[in-house]
Amino acid sequence: MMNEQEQLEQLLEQLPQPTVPDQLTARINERIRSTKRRAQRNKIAKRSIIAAASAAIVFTSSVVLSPSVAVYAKQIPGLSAAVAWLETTGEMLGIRQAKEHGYVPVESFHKQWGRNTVTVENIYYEEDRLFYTVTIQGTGIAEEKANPEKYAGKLRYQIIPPEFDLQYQSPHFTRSELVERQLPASQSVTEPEDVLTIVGDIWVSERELQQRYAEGSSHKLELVLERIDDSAEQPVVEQLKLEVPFSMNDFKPAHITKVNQVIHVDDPVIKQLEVSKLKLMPTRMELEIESQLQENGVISLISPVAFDPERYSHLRLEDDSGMTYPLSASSPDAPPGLQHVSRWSFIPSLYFEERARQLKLHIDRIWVSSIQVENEFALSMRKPFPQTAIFKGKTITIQGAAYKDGYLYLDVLADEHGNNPLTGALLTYEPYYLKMQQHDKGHKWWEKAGLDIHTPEVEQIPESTQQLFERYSKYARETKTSFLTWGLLGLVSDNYEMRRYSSSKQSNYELKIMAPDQDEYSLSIRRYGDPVDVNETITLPVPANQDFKK
Amino acid sequence: MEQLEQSALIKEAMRGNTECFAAAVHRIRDRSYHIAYSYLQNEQDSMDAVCDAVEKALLNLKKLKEPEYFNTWFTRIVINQCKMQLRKSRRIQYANEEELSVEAVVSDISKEEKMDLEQIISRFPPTTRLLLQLKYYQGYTLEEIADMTELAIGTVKTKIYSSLKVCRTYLDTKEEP
Repeated sequence: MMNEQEQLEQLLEQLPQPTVPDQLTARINERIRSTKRRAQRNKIAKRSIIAAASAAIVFTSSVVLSPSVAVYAKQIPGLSAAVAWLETTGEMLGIRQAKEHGYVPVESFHKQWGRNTVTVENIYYEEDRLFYTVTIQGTGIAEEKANPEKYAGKLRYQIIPPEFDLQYQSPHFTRSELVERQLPASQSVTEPEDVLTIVGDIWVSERELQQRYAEGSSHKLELVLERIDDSAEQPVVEQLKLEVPFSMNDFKPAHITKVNQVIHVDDPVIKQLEVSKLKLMPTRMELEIESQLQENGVISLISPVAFDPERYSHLRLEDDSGMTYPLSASSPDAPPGLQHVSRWSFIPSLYFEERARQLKLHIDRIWVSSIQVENEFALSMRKPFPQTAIFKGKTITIQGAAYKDGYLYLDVLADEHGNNPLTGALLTYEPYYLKMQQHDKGHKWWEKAGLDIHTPEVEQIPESTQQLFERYSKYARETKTSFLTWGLLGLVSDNYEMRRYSSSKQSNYELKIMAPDQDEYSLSIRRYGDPVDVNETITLPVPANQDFKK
Repeated sequence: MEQLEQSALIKEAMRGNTECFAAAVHRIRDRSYHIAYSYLQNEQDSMDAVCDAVEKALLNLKKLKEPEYFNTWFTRIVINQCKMQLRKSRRIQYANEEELSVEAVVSDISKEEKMDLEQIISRFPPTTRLLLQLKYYQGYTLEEIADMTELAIGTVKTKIYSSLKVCRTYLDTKEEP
């Protein structure tokens, strides 16, 4: 016999359930599709942001504008293929040269898409990089390009690449809007009117690429081309799946030589710095530079000041005939830590050389940053100015301070040479700086750097990270200034407006620090892109191609 | 795909196969909807909560450490989405729902007034309805329910047994077998 409770429980179990609406299945399927699409787009955008903060900036500025590229481009006789225009650009210099040596590992792949033909070609797999170009050519593209008032800014094409865990893409060609894209006048060749080109340049971890495309097997490069029309309320997305067959056997291996040459640097953060490897690949040459640093340091071989006109002039590679090889890309800056391996690519390559050669790497200067706080100083808005701070043993004179729109502004007196005494420093109101790192939930660089971003002072900030972020984003929008940049030390609010960067000497310099409005401050100073002179030349022997064949 | 174990589907889904993810979700679609409905008592809101949970699960699938626990993990997401949905819709407001007892909710009913079981349950606070759903329809253990709802096991027990007590008080005896 069941007792009263058991009877009730049985009743409960037998109660009818509401009918599941028929449309739930379709709604779930649609949500999965839209989530996947959005995630892929976000991934592309995120990758571009990461790349923009590091490697790919080097790409556009150094190579495209390099005079040697322009000279090289002029020597190429009549080009007729759809991508020929592209092959004259700096980025394609290495690929162009490999093709001139007859190295075309994958046949061009064509597919009709409405009134256009889609071609996937220039597929090059090399160690940690996958490169391909997709061109869309036809009357459809011609019509869209001929009507910028109808399509410009409203229609875009993009490629969704294969999914990799870790990848960086050069950001400037991966998606293509229907706006005129012209190269500098020195290169004089532009994209034809009926062609739209998208370039995929993906840097992946070596292991992942090798796992994905195991040697000796047949594979397919799977890409999805999307045409996104943003003119309607909801974007209209058309997709074309592209599957290009290839065999790993057709790709040439990299030729790797151990270099192990020390770069001598006198700086407390750097324990050791050396050029460890030279990798010759068909389309580029890559130098591996290994560093051992004191705890939580980070170094950069190019100036972290993005608008520095001499940004790329402090690292040069030239051969024994005097030819200079432009820096085409570099691996992103690693987060602060003890050991780093950075990779620097130069184009074109000496891969196909039949005789032994010699390269010389000139390093004039490097830039050092450190997560460790170098110094702290107190600033009082109530006490008279000047007040002082210490950076790298030197006294800094702060002539005045003011608070406006979320920022503390400091007026800093120039040093005896008229230079900014805080060049190579990052000044922060520490709780805000730490709080901003909470915004980076993906890479969590701060965790790897051992930075405690949940100190009692941080926890006392009444706004959430999101609220703080939104408030400062609003300031940035209203004043048309930058707010956060993904820098060597995480998410950083720069002390200077980079767009207004000037190397000219002044009597005083204005710094801004993200901070609350208060009377007394404790401010932190870190080394941030601090230039250190090196002035070293490393000689790198390059074995002949046939030596690797033996 | 039909023959694959749920955990095998999820392992595939974690490697980026969204078809497997869809298959795994559809296997628990109806019960997820019932859980959502028990809390929200509204068709559109329940569908929204399930769809939102699908999105959250897909975006965070790589964070799932053990594919075997996908169903429990997904149910927890559904419950969280229900709570958010309820806050958004504000059609039903309980000032402090967690503390509200079932006795308080039915206090306006005279003890002589008899109702059927569905009527009584529909008067309960959302969390209590959810607990009854998880315990009696879905067959979860008290420990699993505590885990999914992030309530202390003692609270789960108290809420369920006080709701049964209320049911006994008001249940129309005609309903009994």
